[in-house]
Amino acid sequence: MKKYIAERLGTAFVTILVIIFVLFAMMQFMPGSPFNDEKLSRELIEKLNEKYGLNQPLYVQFFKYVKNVAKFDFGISYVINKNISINLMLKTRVPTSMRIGLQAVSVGAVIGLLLGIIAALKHNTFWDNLTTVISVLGVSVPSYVFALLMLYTFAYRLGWFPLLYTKTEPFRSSLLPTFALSMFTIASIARFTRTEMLEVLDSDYMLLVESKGISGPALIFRHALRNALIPIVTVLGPLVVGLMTGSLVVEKIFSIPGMGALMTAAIQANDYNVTIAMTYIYSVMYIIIMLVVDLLYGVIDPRIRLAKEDSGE
Amino acid sequence: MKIAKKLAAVLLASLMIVSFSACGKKGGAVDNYIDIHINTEVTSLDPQEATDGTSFGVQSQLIEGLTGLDKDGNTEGLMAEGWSVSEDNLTWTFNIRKDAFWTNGDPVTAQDFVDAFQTLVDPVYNSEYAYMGYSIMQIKGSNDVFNGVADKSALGVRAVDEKTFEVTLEYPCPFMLSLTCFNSFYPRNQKFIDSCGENYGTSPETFIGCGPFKLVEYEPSTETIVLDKNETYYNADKVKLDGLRYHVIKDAQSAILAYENNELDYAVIDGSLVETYKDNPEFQVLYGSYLWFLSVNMGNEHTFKGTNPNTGYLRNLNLRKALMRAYDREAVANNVVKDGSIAADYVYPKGLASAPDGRDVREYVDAKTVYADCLYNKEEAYKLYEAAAAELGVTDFDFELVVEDNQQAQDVAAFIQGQFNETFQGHVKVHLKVETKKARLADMNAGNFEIGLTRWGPDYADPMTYTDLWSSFNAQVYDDGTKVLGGGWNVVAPELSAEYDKKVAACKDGSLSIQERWDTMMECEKIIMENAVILPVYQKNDASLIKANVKGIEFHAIGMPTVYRNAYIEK
Repeated sequence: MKKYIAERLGTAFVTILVIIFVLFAMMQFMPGSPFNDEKLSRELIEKLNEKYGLNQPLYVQFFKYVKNVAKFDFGISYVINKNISINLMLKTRVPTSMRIGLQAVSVGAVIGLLLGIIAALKHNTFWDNLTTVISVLGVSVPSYVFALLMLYTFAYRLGWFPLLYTKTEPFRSSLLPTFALSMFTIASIARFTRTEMLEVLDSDYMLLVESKGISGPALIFRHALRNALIPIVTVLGPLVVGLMTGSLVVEKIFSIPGMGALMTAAIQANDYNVTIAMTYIYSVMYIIIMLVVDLLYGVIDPRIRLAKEDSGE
Repeated sequence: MKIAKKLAAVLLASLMIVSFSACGKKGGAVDNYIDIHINTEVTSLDPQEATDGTSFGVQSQLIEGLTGLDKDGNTEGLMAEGWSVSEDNLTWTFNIRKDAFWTNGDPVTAQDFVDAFQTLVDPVYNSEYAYMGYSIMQIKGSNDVFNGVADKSALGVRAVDEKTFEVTLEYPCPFMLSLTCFNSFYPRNQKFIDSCGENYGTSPETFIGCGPFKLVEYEPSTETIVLDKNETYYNADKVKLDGLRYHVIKDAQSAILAYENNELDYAVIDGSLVETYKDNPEFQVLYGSYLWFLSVNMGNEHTFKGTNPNTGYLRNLNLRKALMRAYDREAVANNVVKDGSIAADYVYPKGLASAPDGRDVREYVDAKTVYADCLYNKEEAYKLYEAAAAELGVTDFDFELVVEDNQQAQDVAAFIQGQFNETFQGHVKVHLKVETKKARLADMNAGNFEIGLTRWGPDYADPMTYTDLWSSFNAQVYDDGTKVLGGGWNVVAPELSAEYDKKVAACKDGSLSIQERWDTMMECEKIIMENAVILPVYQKNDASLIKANVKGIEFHAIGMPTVYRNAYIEK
């Protein structure tokens, strides 16, 4: 197991290094510069490049950049918030996005699980069909469509929620974006749970457990669900990552001051430092989530751990 | 199984709890604040640093310059209660209000303006709008200061006493009082700014103003900015609002829903929504003065060293005029852009400036009659094409049209592409090259383009903000990149360009009377139009919705952002 963990950590570290390098290279290849505007003269552009060290040799820029990025010091923004430290810009944005993301994952996982269990237990009934419909819709309709639909129905028509995110009501105004974001998670988890539960319920050991006289919640949760959970944990990781990309659009629709909104703005403005910072943070988050999922695998399912050790992986 | 029913019940119940707990009041502007929609974040609250309209708009509620515009667009004193100018029109003296205070209680002094003007052209500070000081206002010594030859103390500004501010210019500036409205010339409380260090302008605690409103909620790139009435403002009893709230909403659909839901009192709407709202009594078109036009690269030895035949073809006047007359500008404005924008058969936008007799520039020179032979006309365009084809010995042309990746610009470019195809019966084609805005500007600045759809917004209320663009200094295309809006016409038509330069210089050195100067600038426009130096397309206006009970907002097309100090909400 130790070897397995060490290996995963090693891979994660190397991946981060590669990302840092690729990011730098990509920013160099990006057309234009942060200082292009109808109104800027050549002399001014030169002076600005000098001010921000963009006229230094590439390798100097690269080492400076690696050193700072490793310390999570992203420097200042050139365009979006002139001369203001990116860490300051992120101070409130990261918690906001994280909170809404976590809400969406929790809501998605809980509702998805419940739906999946109901569908499996009520196999081939109305409830099962309903779950299938929800799953198909949730997987195939993008989150921004849900976002707009919910915005229109619950905020505009019914007036139950504020239309836009406000800091005065951070929870209430984050409910609609949470649901919009979690639809995909709900659908995927429900689908997986249903399939896994059906498989488990059909298995011989469930027959054994039932014949031993165990029934009700104990049967479902302790014996069926636990076994069904393993594959579900594996999809949860990628789903969390999916939420991050979904948030790029959903944050725009609800005017949420989060990381996604900042990232889209930075790319459009050629704000090098901010783009690098956001991409880096997203990548690190992705890597951490995948790492956790990999490690959880081993913890939840001894078979995986043992198989990996056997094959010398 | 019973368990399933129970689970279903739990699920439904929890959904209901969530929705009922959320059952609250329907939002509505019931307080005495105006809720304003902006579609980009504020990039900086530092007036010498900001360069975008959104930042300027918020700043101007918080800080006031020497002068401003009244509701009719005339210059009035704000921080300056009076001013005088010397005989030679070079030295301006402004008397600062005795009752002007910063929000921390400091008086607004002449030194605050000295600091502001010096900061603007200080090469260490490196303001992107430094050229407003050294190239537009032409403050004495500003070029040397900007180029690092002289210390900023050598700049021609001084505090005669605590409340008397004096500026000396290199050349007379007929639009001086319009320039001093501009944010780049707003005062700076340097002592306070220094005490904040690098945190200046990042929160209400680290910001200082002297305008009708004060900052109460702000953080960098935030989505909500709250301003309250400033009780220390000299005219505080005239400010009827309790404050303003700005909401950054980038999605047009969300914004319109928020407006309908009374969460916004003022929303900017885009072309896709104009059709739906144009008959609404709350619909308004505001004159913006961005001129969108096609810049044609006539190339020169510096750029292409004769390797690109297309830019060579574009040196042909008949061909440029053929292009100019080949697309229906009315259709671009009314059918493609559809946001209240208007066709531009001219260079100086409507609402840019008033002639000495008080008429708007577009009433003074009626483009439809004066530039009749520049208007859209398919038959004439084809004749011009035939003439050009004969002169060049080429019958088919294929140009690359560079356009930025926003929807509106792409739609316009695609429409023009279709019109060229139709007018010239397939002999003149353009293919589009779509790039990000930054990349387009980089390419155009490097002269690496054939035709580009680009724009220019005015910096002050005087035609010179456009005229100047095509003087030979700005008109050339060099491979080391200077402004390219003139596409190098000075090389194509050197004599005419020299004549143009002389006219521009005469407008700047104070040798002409106001009327003569105005007429000279009109002659300059005529030269640009008749020689198809640029091919105008449309004047960008903004369509917006404003609640019927919100009164007294003052909109200005030029230089000066929207003014809320006299606005009120009718009960």
